[in-house]
Amino acid sequence: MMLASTPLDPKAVGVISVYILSMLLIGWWGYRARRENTLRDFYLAGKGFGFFVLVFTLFATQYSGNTMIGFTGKTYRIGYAWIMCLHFMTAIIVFYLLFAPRLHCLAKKEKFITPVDFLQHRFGSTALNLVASTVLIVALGNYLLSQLMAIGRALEGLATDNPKQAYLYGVVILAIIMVIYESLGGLRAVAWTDVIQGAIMTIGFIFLVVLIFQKFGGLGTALEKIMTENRTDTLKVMPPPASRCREWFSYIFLVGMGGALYPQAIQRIYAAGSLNSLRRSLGVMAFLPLLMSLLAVTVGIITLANFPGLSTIESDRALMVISREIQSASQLGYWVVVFLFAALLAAIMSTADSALLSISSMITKDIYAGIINKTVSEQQLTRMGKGISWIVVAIIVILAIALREKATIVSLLDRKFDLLVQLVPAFFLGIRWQRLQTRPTLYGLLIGLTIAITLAAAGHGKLLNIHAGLWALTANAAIAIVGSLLCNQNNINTSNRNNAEQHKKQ
Amino acid sequence: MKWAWVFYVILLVVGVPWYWRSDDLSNLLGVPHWVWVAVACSFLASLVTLAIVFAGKWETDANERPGSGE
Repeated sequence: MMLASTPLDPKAVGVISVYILSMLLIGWWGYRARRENTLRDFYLAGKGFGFFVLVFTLFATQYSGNTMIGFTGKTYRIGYAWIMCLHFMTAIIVFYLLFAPRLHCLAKKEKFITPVDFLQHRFGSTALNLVASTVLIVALGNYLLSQLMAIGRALEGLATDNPKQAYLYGVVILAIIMVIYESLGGLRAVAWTDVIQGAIMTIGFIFLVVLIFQKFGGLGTALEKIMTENRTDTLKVMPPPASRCREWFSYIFLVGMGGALYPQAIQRIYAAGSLNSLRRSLGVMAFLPLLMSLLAVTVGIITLANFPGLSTIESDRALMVISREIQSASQLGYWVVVFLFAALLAAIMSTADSALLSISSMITKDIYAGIINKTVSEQQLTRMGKGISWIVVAIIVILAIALREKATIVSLLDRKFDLLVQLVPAFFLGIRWQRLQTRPTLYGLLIGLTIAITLAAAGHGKLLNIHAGLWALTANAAIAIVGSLLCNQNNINTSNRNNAEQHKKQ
Repeated sequence: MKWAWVFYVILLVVGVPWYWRSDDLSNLLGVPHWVWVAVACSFLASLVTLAIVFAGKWETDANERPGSGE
């Protein structure tokens, strides 16, 4: 039986290329399925999605190929303690319950397109809209960057001859394909690819884990190896120290709240065809961490046991390292890995596309049409949004190449959530607490952002193992709540005074 | 369903292994006991979420404009 001598032989490259190029076809179908040339049709797929597409597209916003590669790498670095990802991915769904149902109904009624549309409806403040748009765009830019870097890491992990070249070409070529089909089909095309990639990625990953178990043994064998052969890694299977547990709590709140506020996820809440579709989708989503996070942790632990000694940056390629072994072990393993990686790359691309679509909708609708030119037509905006996608992708590709050896995927994710959670008072409290006032919310947001950015810039991404974003959110929320209570009190006093004066005059 | 939040807090406190001895190496089927507890808590949290989603009444009073700002 002929087995691949190199992981990316011409046959595999051919299959992966055809697979990736087939996404252009989906973009074309999405283009043909459009009903009207409007922002709502392009960014929210018109009347919205039913349960099946919605659950997969929500799934794709939380679990891309990037998540699977990043989580496996992080498990390799810190061991079983990364089982915390199971908790924080579940927390995202729990935090959705706080605002998604109300937001969905409000969005249908008021025809929202971007997350900032809700803020405009709730607070009516241009300053708050501008700050919120900037936060969302920067956070999503970071997200897009981490997706493109994951594409590069996946390819360089599989390439044996020239990994740097594989990273470079991979990022540039796949980014171009991605932006072409996104420009064609909008959210409709992105969601359809989410369904296909999500299904193939999940099935492929399950197959991969079965083959890994066959070749390397189960978790029992891995534990034994770690405790006897790689004694320096024994700490990675023991209960984590207090500092790691604080980090664990921190991740649950940071990612739980931040993940629920992903702009592309909020836009999918808007795009749900009905409240019932949203309800059923969230019900399924509640259990997905038990599948995807556990698979990633399992692969990470078995890689740790069998391939010790990878450096921090190399550990982000842990999934590729073990996949290469599976690929060269049998013909079945070969094809499982080829298809899994085609699906992983395609899933990263479709997740990155969601972010790209969201960024372009916010720049065109919230910043350009909301502040700069309020008389622009929807057709012009849709055309402009497509152009912006190309510019954003060009900038992010340059950054992805420049940062190749400088940042791990999970460290990039942390920075994004530090910023996103600063919008918790505006969204979570904004939708549930009628007494929340505009100015305290805006000041809280500005101060929260200043604290988060200052701490991160000073090298304190985590203070006492709690993320900088959560310290900043504490100050931010306190200002929003106390400020609103004081404003309300002032309003009551002023109203009482006016009433008393009127009474005196009478 | 305000009661559900009490469950979430309990599961959060039990699921994070802050109370385990740091040198504990006990395991079941090759998976440390503290990992089993963390996974079980996550599963229970998913069940509670499912109960809220399907059994609870969703607050969707979008007709009320939430707050009016200043």
